[in-house]
Amino acid sequence: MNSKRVVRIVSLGFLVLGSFGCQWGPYTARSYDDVLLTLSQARLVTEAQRIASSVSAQPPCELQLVDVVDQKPSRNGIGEIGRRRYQLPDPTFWVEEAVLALPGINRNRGVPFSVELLALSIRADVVANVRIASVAIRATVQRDRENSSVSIHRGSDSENNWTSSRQDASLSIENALIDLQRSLLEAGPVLCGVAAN
Amino acid sequence: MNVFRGAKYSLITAIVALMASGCTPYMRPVLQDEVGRALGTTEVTLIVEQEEIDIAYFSLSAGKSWLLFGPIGAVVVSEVNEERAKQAELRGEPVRDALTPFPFEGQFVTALNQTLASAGGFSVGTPRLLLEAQDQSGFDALVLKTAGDSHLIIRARYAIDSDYRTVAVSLFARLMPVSEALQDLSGRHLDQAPYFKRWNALYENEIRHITYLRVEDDKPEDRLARWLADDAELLKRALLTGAQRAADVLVRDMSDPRRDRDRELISPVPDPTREGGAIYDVTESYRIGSTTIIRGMGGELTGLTSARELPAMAISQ
Repeated sequence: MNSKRVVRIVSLGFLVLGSFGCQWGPYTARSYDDVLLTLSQARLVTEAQRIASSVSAQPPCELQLVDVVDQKPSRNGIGEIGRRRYQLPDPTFWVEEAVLALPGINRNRGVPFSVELLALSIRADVVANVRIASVAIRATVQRDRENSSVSIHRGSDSENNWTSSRQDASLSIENALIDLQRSLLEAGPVLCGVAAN
Repeated sequence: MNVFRGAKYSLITAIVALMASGCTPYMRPVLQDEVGRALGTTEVTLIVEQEEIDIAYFSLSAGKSWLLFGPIGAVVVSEVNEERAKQAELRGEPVRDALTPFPFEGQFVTALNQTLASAGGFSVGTPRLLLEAQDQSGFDALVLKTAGDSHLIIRARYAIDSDYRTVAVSLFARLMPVSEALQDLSGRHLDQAPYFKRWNALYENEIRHITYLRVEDDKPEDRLARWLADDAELLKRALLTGAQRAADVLVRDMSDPRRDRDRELISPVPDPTREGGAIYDVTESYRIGSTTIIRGMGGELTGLTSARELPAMAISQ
């Protein structure tokens, strides 16, 4: 047996033995490191003003935000990417901040409307290497005692150039909330009941 | 000289083989008959991590494009993928809106409970629903806190593709031994953490159910309209049927002790999703009602049902 053959057999041996040495599957989760996200109120306000100036239609009525309720399923984070599990304490606070930053929406007067937070998450598509943050709310506008309308609004952010750092993930959630602001502003006439969806 | 050159290449092959072996699948455990008969009381936990239905889209691999075109290719592919992800999110909005509110997770538990309870040889408790993602310590804690003799932990996902052709429900199931007797009988001892590992499992498999509209059918907007007509009745039926069928297939697969390495490829199976198409790399094919079930090389199972042949069912909101 010449030396080439010996080395080839050894190579094959490595391959066969190695195939028993590791496992692979959907349950390869290691322990998560919790990462606390912090968003910027100032950015939500600034971006709301910028969007309001770019969206031609201003809300045709004043809306009074009565309440923001968390209706997300009970979860211990807003998403996991790799070993990092992202936490956003009091997500309804940030939704409230994003909504109240919009022109025509306040806490004191106008047509009452309430918001339910349906989803708020951050995740990564490992194949496409894209990170996606998304937020969904249900808005109920109470025009009078018998007349109310319900609509769902969404915002999302997709990034192909990202890191899993706290700052970068926070920015992505902010972007999703800003996209939600745009969606709400564009739906102003619908919320005010002056146009069909 | 030639010997030296040959040895050099063989050495490179050896190194590549050694590195590749780090990601080679460990053999999937199948439930042996004698272990299956001794399962005792089995706890069941269903984990659904996602808040809303996933929107699947076709993405390009950045790694391959890097190999083919270098950094420029990777950048282009990366941009393409980001745009596709954005479009997929947008296209998924009407689907997600239509499923709000639709307590699919709760109905999945019900379907699983009915299927497991009606299966012979099983003594299962009512499945527990968890909506939180679990890391290794979370899974280990689930196993350690088990009151029964064994614990069937199932992670489920559900999705529609961004062209609205298919609705998929998939589950990944792993059965863990807990009682000393079962550990002794199976030879799978939970001696040291991490416990929730494939090599400790009595059984493991991935099962998908796909409900499809034929590719030739209509345009994407027409397909979306069909899924969402009548308060998204077809979409909800596809999800519930998917949950039931996946559970049916799981129970059937758990009573099949054949190892995947002992299975042989069979002739290509006609692909019901495409006119004249065929599915290769199939080791088993059978039908449950209107669903065609196929088994892939790794033991994984896929059920395919035409949306036209979905069974009628009452949809509770």
